[in-house]
Amino acid sequence: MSDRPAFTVELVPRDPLWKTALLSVICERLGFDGLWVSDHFFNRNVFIALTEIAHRTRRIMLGPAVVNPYLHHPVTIAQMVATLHELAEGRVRLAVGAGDSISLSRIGIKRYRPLERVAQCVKTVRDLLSGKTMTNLRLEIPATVSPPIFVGAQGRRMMEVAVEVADGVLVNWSNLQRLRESSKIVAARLGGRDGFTLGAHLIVSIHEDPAKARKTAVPFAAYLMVGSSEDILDSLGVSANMRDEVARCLTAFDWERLYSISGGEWVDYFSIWGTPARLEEDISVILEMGYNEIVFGGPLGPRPYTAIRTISKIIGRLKRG
Amino acid sequence: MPHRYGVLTERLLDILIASLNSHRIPLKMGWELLELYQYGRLDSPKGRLILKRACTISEPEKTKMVLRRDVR
Repeated sequence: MSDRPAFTVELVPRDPLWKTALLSVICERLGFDGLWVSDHFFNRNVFIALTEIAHRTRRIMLGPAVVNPYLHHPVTIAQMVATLHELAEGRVRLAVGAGDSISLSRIGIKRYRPLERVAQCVKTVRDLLSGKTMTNLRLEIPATVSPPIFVGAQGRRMMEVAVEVADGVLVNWSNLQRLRESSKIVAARLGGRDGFTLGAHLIVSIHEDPAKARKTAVPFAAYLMVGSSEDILDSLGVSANMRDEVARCLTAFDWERLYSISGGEWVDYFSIWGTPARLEEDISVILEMGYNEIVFGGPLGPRPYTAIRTISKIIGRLKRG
Repeated sequence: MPHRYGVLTERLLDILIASLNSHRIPLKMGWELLELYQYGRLDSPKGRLILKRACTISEPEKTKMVLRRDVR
């Protein structure tokens, strides 16, 4: 694994493009190492957002996290990454995942054989970017590109796929116990192999008033909860009725009702919320587990600008050791 | 090193970034704000004026409170 941990931010392009670009410039100025831009078909287009970010920034790493092979053909992903590389040479990374089955079902896409699809996508993208010809197909883009490719994962088997085919994994848990289990799975599979990035992709919400931080985390935690397996929900004591009601609230943007039914421990399970001091403690623990990239995602806090500045100060302290 | 802005500018940026109503801000004004931030000119008279306008459009009540506090 890489020596020095990287601290990155996930941007969700749900706001006008100028605002996402503004946030990218703010993050670069505050010293973050990288940006990941999320991909949801109902938000602004991830690659167009990355194009603008590439223009506006000079140093920061950037990439989509995560794109899925159901919505984007691997050839299209390779083409977009190769083109982005021409705008931000040496700064582009890519994260591929299976996507959110609920969102995909809304546009009539069934998420079948996710492990195979993700593994094949990573291999195809890598081959095309390296200039290989694949059954009558190759990119007519002269430069060969080898961006680090990550896999977004929650389950054991997807983490194993990541180790097998990718340069890193973004573990999509915001729970210390789950992150510890995941780090062990990855370490066991790696068997001492170097150069692999173990990333923790966190949903974070911080504020000096923990109650405000928790409230802001609720909708983000709810999206993850609704998409979780029945095993996980059973372990948290979340009934099928509760899950359905949370899903209904999300679809109907019924936030007041959502807040009123979100007293359970599942919010703690799917997000890291609290004071900045609590976040700093948790990040220290996660780094000790062996993670060498921390992705700060989710709402960040009720005041995201203050939260980003606060997180940058925490990172400064962690980097100084 | 990040550019350090004055307290009022930072408070207005807080409002701007947290707002869920950014779509109300004219696109031209949004891009202008980005340019002003990028080149460290948000604290200039023009920068402050456009930032105040954008915040007033997206979050009128919160902006009024911050500006009132600033006058005091």
